[in-house]
Amino acid sequence: MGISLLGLSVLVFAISRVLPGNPARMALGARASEEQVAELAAEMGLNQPLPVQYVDYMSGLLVGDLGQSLQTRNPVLEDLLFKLPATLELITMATLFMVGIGVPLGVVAARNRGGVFDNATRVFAFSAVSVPSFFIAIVFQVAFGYYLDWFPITGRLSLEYSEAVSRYTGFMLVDTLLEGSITAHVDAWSHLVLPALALSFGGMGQVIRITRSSMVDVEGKDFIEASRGYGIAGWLVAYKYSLKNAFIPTLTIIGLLYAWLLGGAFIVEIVFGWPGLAKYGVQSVLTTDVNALVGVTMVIGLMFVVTNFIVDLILDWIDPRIQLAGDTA
Amino acid sequence: MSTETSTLDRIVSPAQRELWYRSYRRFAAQPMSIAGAVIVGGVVAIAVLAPVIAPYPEHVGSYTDFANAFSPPSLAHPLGTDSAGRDILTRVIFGYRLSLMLAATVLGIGVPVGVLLGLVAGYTGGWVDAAIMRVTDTFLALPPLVLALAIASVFEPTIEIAIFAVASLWWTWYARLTRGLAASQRSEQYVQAAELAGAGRVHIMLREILPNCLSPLLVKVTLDAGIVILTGASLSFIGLGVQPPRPGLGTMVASGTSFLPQQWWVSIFPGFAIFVLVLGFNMLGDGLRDMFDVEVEQ
Amino acid sequence: MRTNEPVPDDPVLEVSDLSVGFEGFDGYADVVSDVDLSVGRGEVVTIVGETGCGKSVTTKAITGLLEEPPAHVSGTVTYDGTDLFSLSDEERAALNGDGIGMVFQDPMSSLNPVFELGEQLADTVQFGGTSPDGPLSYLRRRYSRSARSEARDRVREILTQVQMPDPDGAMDSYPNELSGGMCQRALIAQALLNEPDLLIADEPGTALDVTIHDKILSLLDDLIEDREMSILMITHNLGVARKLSDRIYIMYGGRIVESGTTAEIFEAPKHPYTQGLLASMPRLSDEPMAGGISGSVPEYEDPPEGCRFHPRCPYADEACRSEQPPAKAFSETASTECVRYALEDPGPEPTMAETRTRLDTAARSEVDSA
Repeated sequence: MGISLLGLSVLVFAISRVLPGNPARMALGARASEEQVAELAAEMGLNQPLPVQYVDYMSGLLVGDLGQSLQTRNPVLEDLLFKLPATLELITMATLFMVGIGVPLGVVAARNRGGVFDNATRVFAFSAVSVPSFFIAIVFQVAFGYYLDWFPITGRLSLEYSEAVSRYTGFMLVDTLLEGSITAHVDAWSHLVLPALALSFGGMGQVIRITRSSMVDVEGKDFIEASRGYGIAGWLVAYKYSLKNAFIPTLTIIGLLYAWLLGGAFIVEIVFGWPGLAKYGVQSVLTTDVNALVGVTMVIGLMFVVTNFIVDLILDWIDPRIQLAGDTA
Repeated sequence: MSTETSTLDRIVSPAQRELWYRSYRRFAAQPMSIAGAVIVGGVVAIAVLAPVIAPYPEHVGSYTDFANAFSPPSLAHPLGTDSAGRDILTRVIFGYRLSLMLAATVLGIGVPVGVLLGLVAGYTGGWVDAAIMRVTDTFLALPPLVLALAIASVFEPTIEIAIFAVASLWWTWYARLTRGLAASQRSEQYVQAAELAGAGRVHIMLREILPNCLSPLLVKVTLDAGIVILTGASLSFIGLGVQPPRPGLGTMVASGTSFLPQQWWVSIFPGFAIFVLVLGFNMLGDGLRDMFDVEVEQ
Repeated sequence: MRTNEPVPDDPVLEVSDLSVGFEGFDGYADVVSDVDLSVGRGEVVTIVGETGCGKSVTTKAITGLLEEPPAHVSGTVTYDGTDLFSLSDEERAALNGDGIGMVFQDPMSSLNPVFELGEQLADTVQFGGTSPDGPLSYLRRRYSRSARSEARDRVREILTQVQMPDPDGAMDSYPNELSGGMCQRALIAQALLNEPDLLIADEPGTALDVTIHDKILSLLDDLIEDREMSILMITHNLGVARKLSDRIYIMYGGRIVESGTTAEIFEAPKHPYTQGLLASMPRLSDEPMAGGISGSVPEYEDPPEGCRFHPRCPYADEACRSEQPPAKAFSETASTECVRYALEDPGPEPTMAETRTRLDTAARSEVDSA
């Protein structure tokens, strides 16, 4: 785990430093003089050999200094912390949609195996997995935003509320509540729905299929047949006995998906104008803002690691057959 | 019963035919698999025949005809025209061509590299295995888009770079899959028999183990084709893939976003085209999975 | 088997003409054909047969655990006078929880791995046969302190009766933490929780090692003595059948080929298959052991013509290949399906000694020609 992160940091750092352009030049613009560029370059340590730059960066990392963003002029760390909650909110809501809609659909499809609902769900799941996230995002915007006018199209909060709500945590749903404004809170929700739903589509398809297939697998097991043999009602067997078993592979996938959503978030944030980390990351790519780029990548890698760890913990809690290293039998 | 064997029987024995027939029945058990095969086959045909069947092949590059710009779907232009007056149907057809070439290139590079490394890792074991797996783990820690972005950003944002970026990630999945398969085959009897017979390691890896790994690999390649196309489209959408005026499907969607919702056809048709192709690959891959009766980690 | 078999008065279970077919990728398989059997009150009846002879499928058909497609079940099964196939799913479930108890075959795989033992067993007490109407009803009953602790008390009581060491500890454990013997006891307990009148036991203890198997059989013996339960047992082991049963049905190729009391079967077996089985049982006497019966069970998609056993039978001839032999009764309880007893001019009558000789010769010639 730690090794992967380390390797990741090396990789990203190396990539970001091997640039054909001159970051200092890009930061200062075309009109800056040569001396100014050279000064900034020296300040940024760009003239040092690569390994030295890396060590510098890593030691800075340890004390929380990730360098300065060339596009915003803020410390990268500050930028990251500021923008992270928006992305987290989006991803978490997307995950909730994925699970909240995907798992029940998968379970009912399995119960209805071979029937109309099952086939319809199957087609839906395949479609959800096949649709490009930018496309579904655009379709949602056009359909639900423009034509039906049910939801707003961009941003996290309508203009009329943005002034009123101060930033407490960065999580709009939380902040609006802390501010005490129910209408703002509802407004925050309505802004969150479309992007989160669009983001959740790809994962939802997978969750549906995994849930369905593992439910079917579990239903064929001896112990499920036994439960029916003891006279326990079919629905109870399915929702209590089968589901808990079937949820295990699903949970593993959900863990992987949460992190994978970070990739998808890039697109959705751009389409919906969502001021999150992913948008920041893409812009730093487009403007070769090296420090920001490295910072964003590190954050993403870290989130991956943390999420997998949490999923492992939950799995350990649910499945008594798994034991984390260090448990005694 | 005649004792002569027909020619067909000699080429493909009845037992083999029976096997194929059963496999086909498993494949066709889901109508979606057939639909997938039809879609993929259809798109491949379209892409190959593009120069011949596209109605306005000259619209592919930097053609302009502003008088005709933004005309809605009509008989002359079934999918409408874009901001420069170019026929969208033609561009979608050539866009399919680009997408398939992208998928073929990425997989054509990534799969052999990954499979070879995986074979070596899985069969050799030991520190070689550990080393290769560490490297793949690092790469696997990120969603493809992110690292592809990082790599693509370093150089010029063109489709060739995007291909390189994506391919440089893709091999890791194949390395991991093949390694798992090879490692589990290592203790199988036929491998040990070959070792005893003195076969060289390369021979064992390529001639003995690899053929037994083909089914899961084939399934994964098919499913990956869809994912590669999606990734490529996403990169193009952001501006890091196919550059205008080339008819990348993702690029076309991006170019149309400013004109939504009034001139919806500029974005919607290319986007839908991507959807259909990826759907085809997914359904086909699923059918292959049923046919080979295989479990593949995604 | 169409027989004149006298049905014990007031049988708790009566099966007539039970047939089960399966649709598969390779065609339609007749896995069970024309099975008649009955179990009287307080009787222990065993179905004996090789793996694949259809005995498990028979019991699953009786308890209604087969999924209708791909399975097709026909015939009648009457429990305590009620026609089981006419019941709705809920009524069936009620019966399974209440009157019929089933002990499943593999203790390691028949317990739900993600729930504690106590949880699963208490659920069987509370919900086996008496289904909650919906999620709310389930939650109410499950989380009612008094109902739950009553259920758990009952579980503890039965676990003690099946000689589970440390019942409380077992109840708090997960199945993968328990030994095979303990799991088997848990399975037996689970079948007994709701005081069934009929216990169906599928190869109890077979998956465990021999010493434990023995203990489980003694346990079953004790349980039979203590209660007035009827038992329908399945096994491939004649020794087990002998030890516990009142009557035995020998099953081959999906058909009942012989039936009788334990004494009748062991002292005067009629069917060549039964005789072959008995001959291949290891004994502690001086008699040399006959070789086993060569060959294997028939393919159900394409069974042999006529008598299903004829490819392996040491007495087989033309008559055997042409038609299904009719049943012949020898006593109130014993009957057999074999051409040798039905024809006018049957040829040599199968006896133990004769069968043994013929099997020996066959085995020796196989070895010679190998």
